[in-house]
Amino acid sequence: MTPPEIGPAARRQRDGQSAFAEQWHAQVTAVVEVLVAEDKLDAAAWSQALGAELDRRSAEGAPDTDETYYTAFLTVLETVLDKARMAGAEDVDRRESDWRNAYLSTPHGQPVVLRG
Amino acid sequence: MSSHDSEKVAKLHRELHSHLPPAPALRLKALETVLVEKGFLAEDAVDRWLDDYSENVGPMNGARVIAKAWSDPDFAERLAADTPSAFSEVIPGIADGYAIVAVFNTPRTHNLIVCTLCSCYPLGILGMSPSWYKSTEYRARAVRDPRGVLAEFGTVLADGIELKVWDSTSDRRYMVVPERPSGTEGWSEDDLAGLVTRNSMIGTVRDLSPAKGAT
Repeated sequence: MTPPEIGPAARRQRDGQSAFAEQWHAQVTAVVEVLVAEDKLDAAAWSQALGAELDRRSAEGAPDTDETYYTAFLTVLETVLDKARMAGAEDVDRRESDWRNAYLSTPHGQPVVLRG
Repeated sequence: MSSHDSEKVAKLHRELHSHLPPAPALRLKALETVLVEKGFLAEDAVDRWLDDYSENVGPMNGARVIAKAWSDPDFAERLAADTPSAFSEVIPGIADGYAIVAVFNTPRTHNLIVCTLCSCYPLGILGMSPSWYKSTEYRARAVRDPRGVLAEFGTVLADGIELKVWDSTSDRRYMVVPERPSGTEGWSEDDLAGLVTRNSMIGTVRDLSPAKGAT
């Protein structure tokens, strides 16, 4: 039998689903992977915390979707980093507000820069 | 100005300025900013990881290793004995320090991978797991009713085939090595690698015969 023609792109995307539906899904995954690789986040503790949050949301009837998964992922990351005093919730709140203001005050097409 | 007009002005304002990311994306941006400011994350670490991921990580890595194992019995033995080292023979450095274990399908055995706790998967080598792998339903049913799950993927196991379900964890992640399909004698490793799908490396697909196409 002759091998079929399968290009590199098809090989990467095979099984009919792209890896990340949203850019921030990829980014939050990257943050965790980098922190684990640099031993700033314990992989086993992370898995336990994520599993518990996924179970909790499932028990509450959250839809079994990527959105639920990554929202839980981000929530757990925030909680873990707050507890570890690596990124306190108040600091994150303040920076979130700064970023929102930066986006709203930057003309479309210009790079969005955080001041301070 | 009525409240309706205020809303219209606010909407126009948002459209005239840079598009505000969705709420979780903005929150994550803030979290990253704080981590960078406190020295826990290099400023370009996330971008570098994403670049490396998009260039070097994905199911094709597993496919190349499996194709070599199909072509070289000695390599297959090394892959079974020390999976990270065997990976690094094919793709230098890819599996250094990575606890990945290859489990082999045989005519009498089929393997299926799940993470019952959360979503552990050899992401750093094979790329992100599919959505269904992370779903609560798969995580529960892959253990409770694995044959039923396989049937939903079109994989109906004959009665005599033993089914082993492997539970991936943060410190041990599995990859299924499917059987080389018949009708591929004389194929190059590149062509063989083209048959190996992500789902087959999780174990939801067993038959990779060329006639079936990549499913």
